[in-house]
Amino acid sequence: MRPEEGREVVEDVVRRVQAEVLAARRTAPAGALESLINDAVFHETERLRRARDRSREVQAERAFWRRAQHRLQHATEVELVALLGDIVRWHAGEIVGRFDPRVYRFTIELMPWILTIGLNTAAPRRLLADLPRLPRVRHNLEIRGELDLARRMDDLGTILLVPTHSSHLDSVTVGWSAADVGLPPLTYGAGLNLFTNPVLSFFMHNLGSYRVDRKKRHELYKQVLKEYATVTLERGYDNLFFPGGTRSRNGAIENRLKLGLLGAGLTAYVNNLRRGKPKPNVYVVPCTVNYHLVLEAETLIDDYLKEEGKSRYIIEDDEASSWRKWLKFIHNLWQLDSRIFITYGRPLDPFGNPVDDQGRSLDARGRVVDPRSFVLRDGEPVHDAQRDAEYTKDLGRAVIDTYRRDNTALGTQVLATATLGLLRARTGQSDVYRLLRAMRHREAFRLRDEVYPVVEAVLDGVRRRAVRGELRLSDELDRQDAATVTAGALRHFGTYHQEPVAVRQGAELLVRNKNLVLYYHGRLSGYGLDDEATAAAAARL
Amino acid sequence: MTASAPIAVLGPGSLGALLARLVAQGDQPVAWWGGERAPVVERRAKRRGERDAGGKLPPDVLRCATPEEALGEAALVFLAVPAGALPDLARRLGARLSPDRLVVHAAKGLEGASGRRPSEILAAETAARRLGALGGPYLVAEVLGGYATTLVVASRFDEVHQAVHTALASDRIRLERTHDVVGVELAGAAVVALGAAAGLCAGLRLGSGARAVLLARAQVEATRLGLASGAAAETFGGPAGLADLLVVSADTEGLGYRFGRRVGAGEPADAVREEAESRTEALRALDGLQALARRLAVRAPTLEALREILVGNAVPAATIDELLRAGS
Repeated sequence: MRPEEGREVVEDVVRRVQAEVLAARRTAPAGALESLINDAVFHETERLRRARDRSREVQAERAFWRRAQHRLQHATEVELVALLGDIVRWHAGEIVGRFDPRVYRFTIELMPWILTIGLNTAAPRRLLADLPRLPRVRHNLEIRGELDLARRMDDLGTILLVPTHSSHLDSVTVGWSAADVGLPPLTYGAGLNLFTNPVLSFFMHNLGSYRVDRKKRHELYKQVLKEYATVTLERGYDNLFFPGGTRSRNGAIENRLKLGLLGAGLTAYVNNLRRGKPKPNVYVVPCTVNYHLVLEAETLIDDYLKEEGKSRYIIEDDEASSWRKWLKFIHNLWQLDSRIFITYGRPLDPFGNPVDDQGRSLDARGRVVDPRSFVLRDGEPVHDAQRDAEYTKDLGRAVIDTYRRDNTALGTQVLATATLGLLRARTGQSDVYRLLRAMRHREAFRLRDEVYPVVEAVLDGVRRRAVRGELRLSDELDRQDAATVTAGALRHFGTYHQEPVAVRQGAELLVRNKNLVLYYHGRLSGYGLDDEATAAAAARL
Repeated sequence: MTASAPIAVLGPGSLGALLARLVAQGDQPVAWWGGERAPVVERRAKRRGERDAGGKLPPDVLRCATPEEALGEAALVFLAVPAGALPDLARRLGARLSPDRLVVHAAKGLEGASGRRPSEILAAETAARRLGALGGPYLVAEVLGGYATTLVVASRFDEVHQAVHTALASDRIRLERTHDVVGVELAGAAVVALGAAAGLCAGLRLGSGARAVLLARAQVEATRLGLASGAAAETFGGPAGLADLLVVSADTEGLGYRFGRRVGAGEPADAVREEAESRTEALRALDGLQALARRLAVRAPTLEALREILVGNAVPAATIDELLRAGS
């Protein structure tokens, strides 16, 4: 987005939020506008009071909110509306991306080299020796699925790419994959904490991201964010949201989505229709990302298991905040010849209907339906907040269904599922918390008699489900036997994490980190594999 | 499609005619399709000196020969067919029931083998998305006789509530709105099944206490099924559930009630079923509830036993006795 267009977008957001707030005021109780602004001022003042940062940026923020507080105390109705505009403008100005297409192209071209060199800085001699044979990012990213359809939908309308979210690495891998697929730069909201890591920050700034400060919890900020996304979609900028809102804490595929931002696609579509835009359609493309190992797995699962930590939304002190951890992780990725699977799902319209290769919406029977007809009233496209919220729920369900079908089962997840089955069968506990308490510090299972048969049962389960189209398989799971899959998974489990997930000790498998077993099993939960694994384990123990 | 487009009512029999009549009373244009056999049925009725099905229809009800004709450009469509006939009608109309139409069914029951609810059938077979379900305690004859009652309109969409309210509400018809479509549909299916159960109790000459216990237990099981399906418990205790059950269990002329009474009185269930199959939805509703109970792993012994009796697999008196002794 050019700087001058950025300014236009900001003013557009200001106008719209003001109009929405004023329209809502007609039915809201007296004092609603003052209360909305007061809420924003209170939250921001509190946030800044706790902030230790003394940067010029924070000083400017403090000054802005002090002035806002002062103005609020003496504001007339007209002044309140002006103050609302200034606050929206302030937030929109913070959010707007500083995207430069030249830097973007440069970044995309150089990213594989930068990463490759970065990960070898620990071993400069090796870097020199191996220079001609250095691996390429493309080798480690397997990008598959409906790629032609994604490109086609970009020609026919605007794309809203909605990936699963398990790691901060997603922002980089998905952003890069979109460029590799041939999509234009994506506009996307990335948490402010991603900009604190210098390696990541470089990519974030230049892959098209705008900054989202999730510590700003007040309603007005959320409204500005949604409006910003809507305006950019209407202007034809492909967007990327993580509809799960935050990284999966237990490794599972998202089963609940934040519908607020997801609904921006429908709002943009109706606005496009009302303006008679030539290409009004917005296409939602679900995208499923699968890793053998997840960078922040230890912190995420610990957070999941802490009762009080369940509500911990923003984690600033995890593995992703350390660039050394990043480098170690990426280094391992190459050392293990590990692959990241990024699957582009079938595009959907904003109502959750699948679309055909010409971008036409299809009903449950595969018949072409006119998407306009979902939003017509008396022959005209109209907004209806209640109706649109229901459509967005349908869209959310369709996105989750796609995630589940496109989820790629990997060796680490199969071994974790089998190990959890063995642990359940041994302890007789199915409840996760009781199971973790009941376990000895280190449980061991005989590989040949206990582990392999259960891995075989889980493999059989995932293969049957893959045939039925309920999930996908990596190539290795398609052809390898239980022993080979187990060996591959143990290679991954034995490296990177502070404490190995599990290791081979003679003829036994030794479980070292039960929490991580639970985490890596999470990706295959909800498919009914747990019962099969536990039954197979019970038959062997 | 415009705001002045007619409302369509698709459905044979008294309920279809009643809905067309209620809409027309509000001075709104309405197109009615009364089923393929409607003219024959009406001729027979007239020969027998009976009134039109559903009472004398106002002249501004446009009678149509086919559902497609009645559908026209209607913005609001009522499907007043029994649950058993809904899948065929939905398949026939298919994409004609387009997303811009508001489609409301009045089918109480489930698809037998699959346990699919009417709105699930409509979502799978048609292109309509803004769906609603009509329920509540009403008897056609009472509404025609000028008695006041409450109808329940369930839809995820407020605009469907509003449109149905505008079409049907009057000083005698009160409309209650809910978003709990699942609850209203499952409560309706349970009521259909329990109408036959009430008749069964009458046929067995059970006392009113035993009958009340049996019906209450079955209603609790239906509520459990509803909760497992995502419905609200209040729906089963409200107009679409308990109130409707009170009406149906006291309606000794209801088709389901008569069917149950004959089985209870000792007629072989097979013979009764063959005779009454086209008229009763009770067995289908019980089949559907059972299919749902299996799928959701919900215990429903009373509903299961009632089904066994009504299909002729169990001896009525002994089975009911056993049920009552077993406790809940």
